[in-house]
Amino acid sequence: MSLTRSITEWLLSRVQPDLIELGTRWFRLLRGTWEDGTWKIKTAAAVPAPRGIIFTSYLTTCIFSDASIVTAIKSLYGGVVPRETYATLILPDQAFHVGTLNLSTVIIKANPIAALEREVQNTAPMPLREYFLRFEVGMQHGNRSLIPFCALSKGVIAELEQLFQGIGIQLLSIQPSFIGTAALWKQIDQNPSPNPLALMHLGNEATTIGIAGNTGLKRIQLINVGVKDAVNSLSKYTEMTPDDAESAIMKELILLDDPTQEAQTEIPAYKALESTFSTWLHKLYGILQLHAAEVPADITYRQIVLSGGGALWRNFDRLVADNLGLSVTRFESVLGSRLTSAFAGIDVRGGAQGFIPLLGHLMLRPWQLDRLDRMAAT
Amino acid sequence: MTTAFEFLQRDSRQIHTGRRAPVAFLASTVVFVIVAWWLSSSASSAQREYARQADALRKRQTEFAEQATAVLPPSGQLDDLEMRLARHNEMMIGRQVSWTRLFSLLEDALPAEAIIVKMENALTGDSTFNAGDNNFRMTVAVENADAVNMLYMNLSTMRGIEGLSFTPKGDVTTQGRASTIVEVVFQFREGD
Repeated sequence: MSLTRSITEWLLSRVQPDLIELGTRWFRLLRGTWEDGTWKIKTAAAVPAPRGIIFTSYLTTCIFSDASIVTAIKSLYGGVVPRETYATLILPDQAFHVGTLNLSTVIIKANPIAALEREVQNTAPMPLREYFLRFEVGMQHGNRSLIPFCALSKGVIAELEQLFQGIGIQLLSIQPSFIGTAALWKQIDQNPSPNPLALMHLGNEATTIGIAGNTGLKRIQLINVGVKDAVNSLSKYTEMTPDDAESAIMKELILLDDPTQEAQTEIPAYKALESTFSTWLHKLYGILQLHAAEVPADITYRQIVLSGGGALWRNFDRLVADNLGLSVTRFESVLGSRLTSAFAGIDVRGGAQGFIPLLGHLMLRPWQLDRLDRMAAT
Repeated sequence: MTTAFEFLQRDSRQIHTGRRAPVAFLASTVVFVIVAWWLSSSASSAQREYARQADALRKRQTEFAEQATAVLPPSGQLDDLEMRLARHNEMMIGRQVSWTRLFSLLEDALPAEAIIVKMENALTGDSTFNAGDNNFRMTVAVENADAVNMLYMNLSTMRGIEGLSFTPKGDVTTQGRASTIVEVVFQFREGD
Protein backbone atom coordinates (compact mmCIF):
# COMPACT_ATOMS: atom_id res chain seq x y z
CA MET A 1 0.00 0.00 0.00
CA SER A 2 1.40 3.37 -0.97
CA LEU A 3 2.09 6.11 1.55
CA THR A 4 -0.73 8.22 0.14
CA ARG A 5 -3.14 5.32 0.50
CA SER A 6 -1.93 4.68 4.05
CA ILE A 7 -2.46 8.33 5.00
CA THR A 8 -5.88 8.31 3.35
CA GLU A 9 -6.96 5.21 5.23
CA TRP A 10 -5.58 6.61 8.50
CA LEU A 11 -7.60 9.78 8.06
CA LEU A 12 -10.68 7.82 7.00
CA SER A 13 -10.46 5.66 10.10
CA ARG A 14 -11.13 8.80 12.11
CA VAL A 15 -14.29 9.89 10.35
CA GLN A 16 -17.75 8.88 11.50
CA PRO A 17 -19.75 8.28 8.33
CA ASP A 18 -23.50 8.64 8.00
CA LEU A 19 -25.59 5.74 6.76
CA ILE A 20 -27.83 6.59 3.83
CA GLU A 21 -30.40 4.18 2.51
CA LEU A 22 -31.86 4.87 -0.89
CA GLY A 23 -35.11 2.96 -1.16
CA THR A 24 -37.94 3.22 -3.62
CA ARG A 25 -40.38 4.23 -0.88
CA TRP A 26 -38.14 6.17 1.53
CA PHE A 27 -34.69 7.74 1.62
CA ARG A 28 -33.27 7.36 5.11
CA LEU A 29 -30.34 8.87 6.99
CA LEU A 30 -28.88 7.49 10.20
CA ARG A 31 -25.98 8.88 12.20
CA GLY A 32 -24.81 7.33 15.43
CA THR A 33 -22.66 4.68 17.00
CA TRP A 34 -22.91 1.12 18.25
CA GLU A 35 -21.18 0.80 21.61
CA ASP A 36 -21.45 -1.81 24.34
CA GLY A 37 -24.40 -3.53 22.71
CA THR A 38 -26.54 -0.42 22.33
CA TRP A 39 -27.13 2.16 19.65
CA LYS A 40 -26.54 5.81 20.30
CA ILE A 41 -28.48 7.56 17.57
CA LYS A 42 -27.57 11.19 16.96
CA THR A 43 -29.63 11.83 13.84
CA ALA A 44 -32.31 9.89 12.02
CA ALA A 45 -34.33 11.25 9.14
CA ALA A 46 -36.54 9.89 6.38
CA VAL A 47 -38.02 11.54 3.32
CA PRO A 48 -40.29 10.02 0.64
CA ALA A 49 -38.27 8.70 -2.29
CA PRO A 50 -38.76 10.69 -5.50
CA ARG A 51 -40.05 8.99 -8.62
CA GLY A 52 -36.83 9.49 -10.56
CA ILE A 53 -35.02 6.48 -9.13
CA ILE A 54 -35.46 2.84 -10.15
CA PHE A 55 -33.48 -0.03 -8.71
CA THR A 56 -33.38 -3.25 -10.66
CA SER A 57 -30.68 -5.67 -11.71
CA TYR A 58 -32.04 -5.50 -15.26
CA LEU A 59 -30.72 -2.00 -15.98
CA THR A 60 -27.28 -0.40 -16.06
CA THR A 61 -28.70 2.83 -14.72
CA CYS A 62 -30.87 3.80 -11.77
CA ILE A 63 -31.19 7.57 -11.82
CA PHE A 64 -33.71 9.14 -14.12
CA SER A 65 -34.09 12.53 -12.48
CA ASP A 66 -30.94 13.93 -10.91
CA ALA A 67 -32.56 17.07 -9.56
CA SER A 68 -35.33 15.37 -7.58
CA ILE A 69 -32.93 12.83 -6.08
CA VAL A 70 -30.39 15.48 -5.11
CA THR A 71 -33.16 17.52 -3.50
CA ALA A 72 -34.40 14.49 -1.56
CA ILE A 73 -30.91 13.57 -0.31
CA LYS A 74 -30.21 17.17 0.69
CA SER A 75 -33.52 17.33 2.52
CA LEU A 76 -32.28 14.46 4.70
CA TYR A 77 -29.71 16.98 5.96
CA GLY A 78 -32.27 19.77 6.29
CA GLY A 79 -31.42 21.24 2.88
CA VAL A 80 -27.67 21.71 3.20
CA VAL A 81 -25.15 18.89 3.28
CA PRO A 82 -22.40 19.71 5.80
CA ARG A 83 -18.84 19.92 4.50
CA GLU A 84 -16.59 16.88 4.90
CA THR A 85 -19.52 14.48 4.92
CA TYR A 86 -18.77 10.79 4.50
CA ALA A 87 -21.44 8.18 4.04
CA THR A 88 -21.93 4.48 3.61
CA LEU A 89 -24.67 3.73 1.12
CA ILE A 90 -27.29 1.02 1.57
CA LEU A 91 -29.21 0.02 -1.53
CA PRO A 92 -32.45 -1.99 -1.71
CA ASP A 93 -31.94 -5.66 -2.44
CA GLN A 94 -33.66 -5.52 -5.83
CA ALA A 95 -30.81 -3.33 -7.12
CA PHE A 96 -28.66 -6.45 -6.98
CA HIS A 97 -28.78 -9.73 -8.77
CA VAL A 98 -28.94 -11.95 -5.69
CA GLY A 99 -28.94 -15.69 -5.36
CA THR A 100 -27.35 -18.76 -3.86
CA LEU A 101 -25.46 -21.50 -5.67
CA ASN A 102 -25.01 -25.04 -4.47
CA LEU A 103 -21.69 -26.11 -5.97
CA SER A 104 -19.45 -29.11 -5.62
CA THR A 105 -16.62 -28.43 -3.19
CA VAL A 106 -14.18 -30.01 -5.68
CA ILE A 107 -15.11 -27.47 -8.34
CA ILE A 108 -14.85 -24.61 -5.85
CA LYS A 109 -11.36 -25.70 -4.85
CA ALA A 110 -10.26 -26.17 -8.48
CA ASN A 111 -11.46 -22.94 -10.10
CA PRO A 112 -14.19 -21.22 -8.11
CA ILE A 113 -14.34 -17.98 -10.09
CA ALA A 114 -14.94 -19.61 -13.46
CA ALA A 115 -17.56 -21.96 -12.03
CA LEU A 116 -19.29 -19.13 -10.22
CA GLU A 117 -19.33 -16.84 -13.21
CA ARG A 118 -20.76 -19.60 -15.37
CA GLU A 119 -23.50 -20.37 -12.88
CA VAL A 120 -24.36 -16.75 -12.15
CA GLN A 121 -24.48 -15.94 -15.85
CA ASN A 122 -27.18 -18.59 -16.23
CA THR A 123 -29.54 -16.46 -14.12
CA ALA A 124 -28.24 -12.91 -14.55
CA PRO A 125 -30.37 -10.73 -16.83
CA MET A 126 -27.35 -8.91 -18.31
CA PRO A 127 -23.89 -10.07 -19.42
CA LEU A 128 -21.73 -10.71 -16.39
CA ARG A 129 -19.17 -8.10 -17.49
CA GLU A 130 -21.81 -5.45 -16.69
CA TYR A 131 -21.70 -6.39 -12.99
CA PHE A 132 -19.37 -6.34 -10.07
CA LEU A 133 -19.79 -9.81 -8.60
CA ARG A 134 -19.31 -10.52 -4.90
CA PHE A 135 -19.76 -13.89 -3.25
CA GLU A 136 -18.89 -15.82 -0.16
CA VAL A 137 -18.21 -19.52 0.20
CA GLY A 138 -20.72 -20.37 2.88
CA MET A 139 -22.05 -23.47 4.56
CA GLN A 140 -20.52 -26.77 3.49
CA HIS A 141 -22.79 -29.84 3.46
CA GLY A 142 -21.45 -33.17 2.32
CA ASN A 143 -19.27 -32.57 -0.73
CA ARG A 144 -21.07 -29.39 -1.70
CA SER A 145 -21.05 -25.79 -0.51
CA LEU A 146 -23.63 -23.04 -0.55
CA ILE A 147 -22.35 -19.86 -2.15
CA PRO A 148 -24.50 -16.76 -1.69
CA PHE A 149 -23.67 -14.22 -4.39
CA CYS A 150 -24.60 -10.66 -5.11
CA ALA A 151 -23.96 -8.65 -8.28
CA LEU A 152 -24.43 -4.93 -8.87
CA SER A 153 -24.30 -3.13 -12.20
CA LYS A 154 -21.07 -1.20 -12.77
CA GLY A 155 -23.10 1.54 -14.40
CA VAL A 156 -25.24 1.96 -11.27
CA ILE A 157 -22.17 2.21 -9.03
CA ALA A 158 -20.59 4.85 -11.29
CA GLU A 159 -23.83 6.78 -11.45
CA LEU A 160 -24.28 6.79 -7.67
CA GLU A 161 -20.66 7.76 -7.03
CA GLN A 162 -21.00 10.69 -9.42
CA LEU A 163 -24.29 11.75 -7.86
CA PHE A 164 -22.92 11.78 -4.31
CA GLN A 165 -19.69 13.46 -5.43
CA GLY A 166 -21.82 16.24 -6.89
CA ILE A 167 -23.71 16.67 -3.62
CA GLY A 168 -20.46 16.79 -1.63
CA ILE A 169 -20.78 13.43 0.09
CA GLN A 170 -17.83 11.05 -0.10
CA LEU A 171 -18.92 7.42 -0.23
CA LEU A 172 -17.01 4.87 1.81
CA SER A 173 -19.11 1.80 1.20
CA ILE A 174 -21.97 0.44 -0.91
CA GLN A 175 -23.76 -2.63 0.41
CA PRO A 176 -27.13 -4.34 -0.01
CA SER A 177 -29.79 -3.90 2.64
CA PHE A 178 -30.17 -7.58 3.62
CA ILE A 179 -26.64 -7.66 5.08
CA GLY A 180 -27.75 -5.36 7.91
CA THR A 181 -30.99 -7.24 8.57
CA ALA A 182 -29.25 -10.61 8.77
CA ALA A 183 -26.44 -9.31 10.98
CA LEU A 184 -28.89 -7.61 13.31
CA TRP A 185 -30.96 -10.76 13.69
CA LYS A 186 -27.85 -12.74 14.57
CA GLN A 187 -27.12 -10.14 17.25
CA ILE A 188 -30.58 -10.12 18.84
CA ASP A 189 -31.60 -13.76 18.37
CA GLN A 190 -32.86 -14.76 21.80
CA ASN A 191 -32.85 -18.52 21.23
CA PRO A 192 -30.04 -19.39 18.81
CA SER A 193 -30.35 -22.95 17.65
CA PRO A 194 -28.83 -25.22 14.97
CA ASN A 195 -32.22 -25.32 13.24
CA PRO A 196 -32.47 -22.65 10.55
CA LEU A 197 -35.04 -19.90 10.31
CA ALA A 198 -36.33 -17.81 7.44
CA LEU A 199 -35.83 -14.05 7.39
CA MET A 200 -38.48 -12.56 5.12
CA HIS A 201 -38.03 -8.88 4.36
CA LEU A 202 -41.07 -7.46 2.58
CA GLY A 203 -39.61 -4.47 0.76
CA ASN A 204 -41.45 -1.94 -1.34
CA GLU A 205 -40.67 -3.53 -4.72
CA ALA A 206 -39.15 -6.89 -3.83
CA THR A 207 -39.03 -9.42 -1.05
CA THR A 208 -35.80 -10.89 0.22
CA ILE A 209 -35.83 -14.31 1.80
CA GLY A 210 -32.81 -15.47 3.72
CA ILE A 211 -32.24 -18.80 5.44
CA ALA A 212 -30.19 -18.13 8.54
CA GLY A 213 -28.54 -20.42 11.03
CA ASN A 214 -26.79 -19.66 14.27
CA THR A 215 -23.57 -19.00 12.28
CA GLY A 216 -25.15 -16.48 9.92
CA LEU A 217 -26.90 -16.33 6.58
CA LYS A 218 -26.80 -19.57 4.59
CA ARG A 219 -29.00 -18.78 1.61
CA ILE A 220 -30.39 -15.62 0.10
CA GLN A 221 -33.04 -15.33 -2.61
CA LEU A 222 -35.00 -12.43 -4.05
CA ILE A 223 -38.64 -12.37 -5.11
CA ASN A 224 -39.67 -9.53 -7.38
CA VAL A 225 -42.95 -8.99 -5.59
CA GLY A 226 -43.17 -6.33 -2.94
CA VAL A 227 -45.45 -4.18 -0.83
CA LYS A 228 -46.00 -1.90 -3.80
CA ASP A 229 -47.60 -4.74 -5.81
CA ALA A 230 -50.09 -5.49 -3.06
CA VAL A 231 -50.87 -1.79 -2.53
CA ASN A 232 -51.36 -1.25 -6.27
CA SER A 233 -53.65 -4.29 -6.53
CA LEU A 234 -55.80 -3.06 -3.67
CA SER A 235 -55.74 0.50 -4.93
CA LYS A 236 -56.86 -0.58 -8.39
CA TYR A 237 -59.55 -2.87 -7.01
CA THR A 238 -60.98 -0.43 -4.48
CA GLU A 239 -60.20 2.73 -6.48
CA MET A 240 -58.38 4.19 -3.49
CA THR A 241 -55.18 6.19 -3.63
CA PRO A 242 -52.06 4.09 -2.98
CA ASP A 243 -51.54 5.84 0.38
CA ASP A 244 -55.10 5.05 1.45
CA ALA A 245 -54.75 1.48 0.22
CA GLU A 246 -51.52 1.07 2.23
CA SER A 247 -53.20 2.48 5.30
CA ALA A 248 -56.17 0.14 4.78
CA ILE A 249 -53.97 -2.97 4.59
CA MET A 250 -52.26 -1.95 7.77
CA LYS A 251 -55.31 -1.11 9.81
CA GLU A 252 -58.46 -2.61 8.28
CA LEU A 253 -59.54 -6.16 8.87
CA ILE A 254 -58.65 -7.45 5.43
CA LEU A 255 -56.94 -10.49 6.87
CA LEU A 256 -58.98 -12.16 9.59
CA ASP A 257 -57.53 -13.30 12.86
CA ASP A 258 -57.84 -16.81 11.44
CA PRO A 259 -57.17 -16.39 7.73
CA THR A 260 -57.93 -20.04 7.01
CA GLN A 261 -61.63 -19.48 7.70
CA GLU A 262 -63.95 -19.60 4.71
CA ALA A 263 -65.13 -16.11 5.61
CA GLN A 264 -61.73 -14.82 4.61
CA THR A 265 -62.40 -15.38 0.93
CA GLU A 266 -65.60 -13.37 1.17
CA ILE A 267 -63.78 -10.13 2.00
CA PRO A 268 -63.61 -8.16 -1.27
CA ALA A 269 -60.28 -6.50 -0.54
CA TYR A 270 -58.75 -9.89 0.12
CA LYS A 271 -59.64 -11.00 -3.39
CA ALA A 272 -57.57 -8.13 -4.74
CA LEU A 273 -54.61 -9.16 -2.63
CA GLU A 274 -54.95 -12.92 -2.90
CA SER A 275 -52.71 -13.36 -5.91
CA THR A 276 -49.90 -11.30 -4.32
CA PHE A 277 -50.20 -13.17 -1.02
CA SER A 278 -50.26 -16.44 -2.93
CA THR A 279 -47.06 -15.55 -4.79
CA TRP A 280 -45.30 -14.73 -1.54
CA LEU A 281 -46.42 -17.91 0.15
CA HIS A 282 -45.56 -20.14 -2.80
CA LYS A 283 -42.13 -18.59 -3.28
CA LEU A 284 -41.36 -18.74 0.42
CA TYR A 285 -42.52 -22.36 0.59
CA GLY A 286 -40.48 -23.19 -2.51
CA ILE A 287 -37.31 -21.68 -1.08
CA LEU A 288 -37.77 -23.50 2.23
CA GLN A 289 -38.33 -26.77 0.39
CA LEU A 290 -35.38 -26.19 -1.93
CA HIS A 291 -33.06 -25.50 0.97
CA ALA A 292 -34.29 -28.52 2.91
CA ALA A 293 -33.78 -30.70 -0.18
CA GLU A 294 -30.26 -29.43 -0.82
CA VAL A 295 -29.22 -29.40 2.83
CA PRO A 296 -30.85 -32.40 4.55
CA ALA A 297 -29.52 -31.29 7.95
CA ASP A 298 -31.72 -28.17 7.72
CA ILE A 299 -35.02 -29.99 7.27
CA THR A 300 -36.52 -28.58 10.48
CA TYR A 301 -37.17 -24.86 10.50
CA ARG A 302 -37.49 -22.88 13.72
CA GLN A 303 -39.62 -19.98 12.59
CA ILE A 304 -40.13 -17.22 10.07
CA VAL A 305 -39.13 -13.65 10.95
CA LEU A 306 -40.94 -10.87 9.09
CA SER A 307 -39.49 -7.42 8.52
CA GLY A 308 -40.06 -4.51 6.14
CA GLY A 309 -43.24 -2.59 5.38
CA GLY A 310 -45.35 -5.71 4.82
CA ALA A 311 -44.56 -7.06 8.27
CA LEU A 312 -46.74 -4.34 9.76
CA TRP A 313 -49.90 -5.47 7.99
CA ARG A 314 -52.61 -6.62 10.26
CA ASN A 315 -52.71 -10.44 10.62
CA PHE A 316 -50.21 -10.99 7.80
CA ASP A 317 -48.05 -12.99 10.24
CA ARG A 318 -51.03 -15.25 10.94
CA LEU A 319 -51.60 -15.76 7.21
CA VAL A 320 -48.00 -16.95 6.77
CA ALA A 321 -48.05 -19.07 9.92
CA ASP A 322 -51.33 -20.81 9.10
CA ASN A 323 -50.35 -21.55 5.51
CA LEU A 324 -46.81 -22.78 6.13
CA GLY A 325 -47.28 -24.36 9.54
CA LEU A 326 -44.39 -22.50 11.12
CA SER A 327 -44.36 -20.00 13.94
CA VAL A 328 -44.02 -16.45 12.65
CA THR A 329 -42.65 -13.47 14.53
CA ARG A 330 -42.08 -9.87 13.60
CA PHE A 331 -38.54 -8.52 13.70
CA GLU A 332 -39.77 -5.31 15.27
CA SER A 333 -41.42 -7.13 18.19
CA VAL A 334 -38.21 -9.06 18.93
CA LEU A 335 -36.23 -5.81 18.94
CA GLY A 336 -38.91 -4.34 21.18
CA SER A 337 -37.61 -1.93 23.76
CA ARG A 338 -34.14 -1.75 22.21
CA LEU A 339 -35.61 -0.12 19.12
CA THR A 340 -37.72 2.22 21.23
CA SER A 341 -34.83 3.26 23.43
CA ALA A 342 -32.51 3.74 20.41
CA PHE A 343 -34.97 6.20 18.88
CA ALA A 344 -36.08 7.80 22.15
CA GLY A 345 -36.78 11.46 21.51
CA ILE A 346 -36.33 11.09 17.75
CA ASP A 347 -39.41 11.29 15.57
CA VAL A 348 -38.95 9.89 12.07
CA ARG A 349 -41.38 9.63 9.21
CA GLY A 350 -42.39 6.11 8.28
CA GLY A 351 -41.59 4.78 11.75
CA ALA A 352 -38.44 3.53 13.45
CA GLN A 353 -38.96 -0.05 12.20
CA GLY A 354 -37.92 1.12 8.73
CA PHE A 355 -34.40 1.70 10.13
CA ILE A 356 -33.87 -1.96 11.05
CA PRO A 357 -31.45 -2.69 8.15
CA LEU A 358 -29.59 0.56 8.87
CA LEU A 359 -29.22 -0.35 12.55
CA GLY A 360 -27.65 -3.63 11.44
CA HIS A 361 -25.22 -1.80 9.17
CA LEU A 362 -24.38 0.68 11.91
CA MET A 363 -23.46 -2.30 14.07
CA LEU A 364 -21.31 -3.80 11.29
CA ARG A 365 -19.52 -0.54 10.41
CA PRO A 366 -18.98 -1.50 6.77
CA TRP A 367 -16.73 1.53 6.16
CA GLN A 368 -13.89 0.03 8.18
CA LEU A 369 -10.90 -0.91 6.05
CA ASP A 370 -10.39 -4.36 7.53
CA ARG A 371 -13.77 -5.30 6.17
CA LEU A 372 -12.63 -4.37 2.67
CA ASP A 373 -9.45 -6.32 3.21
CA ARG A 374 -11.45 -9.38 4.11
CA MET A 375 -13.56 -8.84 1.04
CA ALA A 376 -10.39 -8.71 -1.09
CA ALA A 377 -9.17 -11.90 0.54
CA THR A 378 -12.43 -13.60 -0.28
CA MET B 1 -21.38 -13.65 5.71
CA THR B 2 -21.96 -9.90 5.61
CA THR B 3 -18.35 -8.93 5.03
CA ALA B 4 -17.96 -10.04 1.44
CA PHE B 5 -20.58 -7.90 -0.23
CA GLU B 6 -18.79 -4.55 -0.43
CA PHE B 7 -19.28 -2.95 -3.82
CA LEU B 8 -17.36 0.29 -3.55
CA GLN B 9 -13.99 -0.06 -5.23
CA ARG B 10 -11.06 0.57 -2.94
CA ASP B 11 -9.70 3.38 -5.14
CA SER B 12 -12.96 5.25 -4.64
CA ARG B 13 -12.26 5.65 -0.92
CA GLN B 14 -10.88 9.17 -0.80
CA ILE B 15 -10.49 12.00 1.62
CA HIS B 16 -13.00 14.69 0.85
CA THR B 17 -11.16 17.98 0.90
CA GLY B 18 -13.32 20.31 -1.16
CA ARG B 19 -11.76 23.60 -2.25
CA ARG B 20 -11.38 25.40 1.01
CA ALA B 21 -8.99 22.88 2.53
CA PRO B 22 -6.24 23.26 -0.16
CA VAL B 23 -6.63 27.05 -0.04
CA ALA B 24 -6.33 26.99 3.73
CA PHE B 25 -3.30 24.72 3.45
CA LEU B 26 -1.59 27.04 0.94
CA ALA B 27 -2.38 30.13 3.01
CA SER B 28 -1.08 28.54 6.20
CA THR B 29 2.07 27.40 4.34
CA VAL B 30 2.74 30.95 3.10
CA VAL B 31 2.17 32.34 6.60
CA PHE B 32 4.47 29.71 8.04
CA VAL B 33 7.25 30.52 5.54
CA ILE B 34 6.94 34.26 6.20
CA VAL B 35 7.01 33.78 9.98
CA ALA B 36 9.97 31.40 9.70
CA TRP B 37 11.89 33.91 7.54
CA TRP B 38 11.10 36.73 9.97
CA LEU B 39 12.19 34.65 12.96
CA SER B 40 15.39 33.64 11.18
CA SER B 41 16.35 37.22 10.26
CA SER B 42 15.47 38.42 13.77
CA ALA B 43 17.67 35.73 15.28
CA SER B 44 20.58 36.66 12.99
CA SER B 45 20.38 40.37 13.82
CA ALA B 46 20.06 39.58 17.54
CA GLN B 47 23.17 37.40 17.30
CA ARG B 48 25.12 40.16 15.56
CA GLU B 49 24.03 42.69 18.19
CA TYR B 50 25.10 40.29 20.94
CA ALA B 51 28.56 39.82 19.39
CA ARG B 52 29.00 43.60 19.02
CA GLN B 53 28.02 44.29 22.62
CA ALA B 54 30.21 41.42 23.89
CA ASP B 55 33.22 42.93 22.05
CA ALA B 56 32.49 46.36 23.51
CA LEU B 57 32.21 44.83 26.98
CA ARG B 58 35.55 43.02 26.63
CA LYS B 59 37.18 46.24 25.43
CA ARG B 60 35.84 48.19 28.39
CA GLN B 61 36.96 45.40 30.74
CA THR B 62 40.51 45.70 29.37
CA GLU B 63 40.39 49.45 29.71
CA PHE B 64 39.22 49.20 33.34
CA ALA B 65 42.01 46.70 34.10
CA GLU B 66 44.60 49.04 32.61
CA GLN B 67 43.21 52.00 34.54
CA ALA B 68 43.21 49.97 37.78
CA THR B 69 46.81 48.91 37.17
CA ALA B 70 47.80 52.52 36.62
CA VAL B 71 46.06 53.58 39.84
CA LEU B 72 47.83 50.97 42.02
CA PRO B 73 51.15 52.03 43.61
CA PRO B 74 54.32 50.01 42.74
CA SER B 75 54.83 46.77 44.74
CA GLY B 76 58.16 48.02 46.20
CA GLN B 77 56.38 51.04 47.55
CA LEU B 78 53.69 48.83 49.12
CA ASP B 79 56.31 46.56 50.74
CA ASP B 80 58.11 49.60 52.11
CA LEU B 81 54.81 50.92 53.46
CA GLU B 82 54.10 47.59 55.10
CA MET B 83 57.55 47.51 56.77
CA ARG B 84 57.12 51.00 58.07
CA LEU B 85 53.70 50.18 59.45
CA ALA B 86 55.14 47.13 61.23
CA ARG B 87 58.02 49.17 62.65
CA HIS B 88 55.68 51.88 63.93
CA ASN B 89 53.41 49.31 65.46
CA GLU B 90 56.40 47.68 67.18
CA MET B 91 57.58 51.03 68.55
CA MET B 92 54.13 51.83 69.93
CA ILE B 93 52.90 48.51 71.31
CA GLY B 94 56.09 46.47 71.38
CA ARG B 95 57.24 43.53 69.25
CA GLN B 96 54.46 41.28 68.15
CA VAL B 97 54.29 38.15 66.10
CA SER B 98 51.52 37.75 63.51
CA TRP B 99 50.59 34.09 63.76
CA THR B 100 48.44 34.46 60.69
CA ARG B 101 51.41 35.54 58.61
CA LEU B 102 53.61 32.86 60.23
CA PHE B 103 51.21 30.05 59.39
CA SER B 104 50.68 31.47 55.92
CA LEU B 105 54.46 31.31 55.38
CA LEU B 106 54.67 27.80 56.83
CA GLU B 107 51.83 26.61 54.59
CA ASP B 108 53.76 27.86 51.58
CA ALA B 109 57.00 26.31 52.83
CA LEU B 110 55.75 22.86 53.84
CA PRO B 111 55.61 20.31 51.00
CA ALA B 112 52.63 17.96 50.80
CA GLU B 113 54.66 15.11 52.34
CA ALA B 114 55.46 17.12 55.51
CA ILE B 115 53.35 17.78 58.59
CA ILE B 116 54.08 19.82 61.73
CA VAL B 117 54.06 17.49 64.71
CA LYS B 118 54.95 19.96 67.45
CA MET B 119 55.70 23.71 67.84
CA GLU B 120 57.26 25.25 70.95
CA ASN B 121 59.06 28.31 72.18
CA ALA B 122 62.75 27.82 71.33
CA LEU B 123 63.91 29.88 74.31
CA THR B 124 61.75 28.32 77.04
CA GLY B 125 61.09 24.92 75.59
CA ASP B 126 57.36 25.36 76.41
CA SER B 127 54.41 25.50 74.10
CA THR B 128 53.41 28.90 75.48
CA PHE B 129 54.23 32.15 73.71
CA ASN B 130 54.13 35.78 74.74
CA ALA B 131 53.15 38.43 72.25
CA GLY B 132 56.73 39.18 71.24
CA ASP B 133 58.13 35.65 71.31
CA ASN B 134 59.49 34.98 67.89
CA ASN B 135 61.86 32.05 68.48
CA PHE B 136 60.25 28.86 67.33
CA ARG B 137 61.18 25.20 67.45
CA MET B 138 59.15 23.01 65.16
CA THR B 139 59.13 19.25 64.93
CA VAL B 140 58.23 18.23 61.44
CA ALA B 141 57.57 14.71 60.12
CA VAL B 142 58.65 14.39 56.50
CA GLU B 143 58.01 11.32 54.34
CA ASN B 144 61.16 11.26 52.23
CA ALA B 145 64.51 12.92 51.60
CA ASP B 146 63.27 14.99 48.64
CA ALA B 147 60.59 16.53 50.79
CA VAL B 148 63.21 17.23 53.53
CA ASN B 149 65.37 19.05 51.00
CA MET B 150 62.44 20.98 49.60
CA LEU B 151 61.38 22.02 53.13
CA TYR B 152 64.88 23.26 53.92
CA MET B 153 65.13 25.12 50.62
CA ASN B 154 61.75 26.81 51.09
CA LEU B 155 62.46 27.90 54.65
CA SER B 156 65.98 29.11 53.92
CA THR B 157 64.85 31.33 51.04
CA MET B 158 61.79 32.64 52.77
CA ARG B 159 61.81 36.26 53.88
CA GLY B 160 61.15 36.68 57.63
CA ILE B 161 62.77 33.35 58.61
CA GLU B 162 66.15 33.91 60.23
CA GLY B 163 68.66 31.85 62.18
CA LEU B 164 67.44 28.66 60.59
CA SER B 165 68.66 25.45 62.23
CA PHE B 166 67.64 22.25 60.47
CA THR B 167 68.39 18.99 62.31
CA PRO B 168 67.16 15.52 61.18
CA LYS B 169 66.36 13.40 64.28
CA GLY B 170 65.71 9.93 62.92
CA ASP B 171 62.93 7.83 61.46
CA VAL B 172 59.55 7.30 63.14
CA THR B 173 56.08 6.21 62.14
CA THR B 174 53.65 9.11 62.10
CA GLN B 175 49.95 8.60 61.43
CA GLY B 176 50.67 5.11 60.14
CA ARG B 177 53.36 6.20 57.68
CA ALA B 178 57.16 6.00 57.90
CA SER B 179 58.71 9.43 58.07
CA THR B 180 61.82 11.32 59.14
CA ILE B 181 61.61 13.67 62.10
CA VAL B 182 63.31 17.01 61.52
CA GLU B 183 63.76 19.64 64.16
CA VAL B 184 63.58 23.16 62.74
CA VAL B 185 64.59 26.15 64.85
CA PHE B 186 64.19 29.67 63.50
CA GLN B 187 63.44 33.21 64.37
CA PHE B 188 60.48 34.88 62.78
CA ARG B 189 60.88 38.55 61.96
CA GLU B 190 58.41 40.77 60.25
CA GLY B 191 58.86 44.14 58.64
CA ASP B 192 62.63 44.23 58.92
